Amino acid sequence: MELTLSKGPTLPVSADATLAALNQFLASVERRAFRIARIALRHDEDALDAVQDAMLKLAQRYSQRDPAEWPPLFHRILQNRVRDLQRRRQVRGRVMALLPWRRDADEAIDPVAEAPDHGPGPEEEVENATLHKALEAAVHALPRRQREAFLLRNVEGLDVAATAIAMGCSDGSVKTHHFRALQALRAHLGESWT
Amino acid sequence: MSTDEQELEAFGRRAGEQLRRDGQVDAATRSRLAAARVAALAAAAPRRRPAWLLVPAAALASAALVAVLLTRPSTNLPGDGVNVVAGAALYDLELLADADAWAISEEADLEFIEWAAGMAELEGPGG
Repeated sequence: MELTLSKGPTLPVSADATLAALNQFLASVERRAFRIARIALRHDEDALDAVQDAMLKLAQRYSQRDPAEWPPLFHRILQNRVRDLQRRRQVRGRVMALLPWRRDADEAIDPVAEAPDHGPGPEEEVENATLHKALEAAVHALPRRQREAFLLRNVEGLDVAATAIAMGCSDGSVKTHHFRALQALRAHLGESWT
Repeated sequence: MSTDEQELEAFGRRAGEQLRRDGQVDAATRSRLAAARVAALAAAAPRRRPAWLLVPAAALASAALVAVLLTRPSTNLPGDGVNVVAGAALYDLELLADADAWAISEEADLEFIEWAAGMAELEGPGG
């Protein structure tokens, strides 16, 4: 889907200045973007792929846009890419489920045991890590639009208008999805987060 | 904004801060993210082509233009008012080249001329 924030290149600055600004923007956003993609995909490699593709697409297509437009553009690309990967994974899962020789192998895989292990931290971080994982799992379990609204608003820190651009919907829809996401998370996580 | 909504907003901020903590991205991932950023910047950088690369390109374009002009099925030459049909049958070209042939074709019996031409071919050059 083409984005229509402005009609075209808006930067009368030099190419070097554009690249420097783009580098700064991508460096500031890449880790959060990775976390957002990982929460949605629950897979490090897929999350890296999604962020990589989003960076490349932004640089190739929108580097000449006003840098103020980059955050919502980048996240819109990222969300689209995450959605593509989720769909592809669903299709792959359905196809693999139909293959009789794959069933035994799939049943033998324990998704919890296969989850990425970030290594044991110091004792004082154990509780924090537990809360973190619980939170990630709760966010992942949200409906897609609620998850996007929560991640863009609270993790990426976009305002309502930028989130609306990134999600391709109205400001009102963003507020509704965000409110419902917060309610669901609080209900799911319970006392540990209140 | 009600108290409940304020609490909900505060909860959202705390949850967001928790998810933003840097400790959750390991060094290898950070390195790959940096590499991806460099690749993206390389894709965005304008490519400056050296001028000498334009020379073979211009030569190729000229050759292609000449080839197109030579192999075009018809050309309308301005000024002379005659349509010259390039690539037409050899017979037609001979007709145009021979000053008498046009007059013959205008006034004479075409069937007879064709018959005579056929006979001449059968008899050969010595006949």
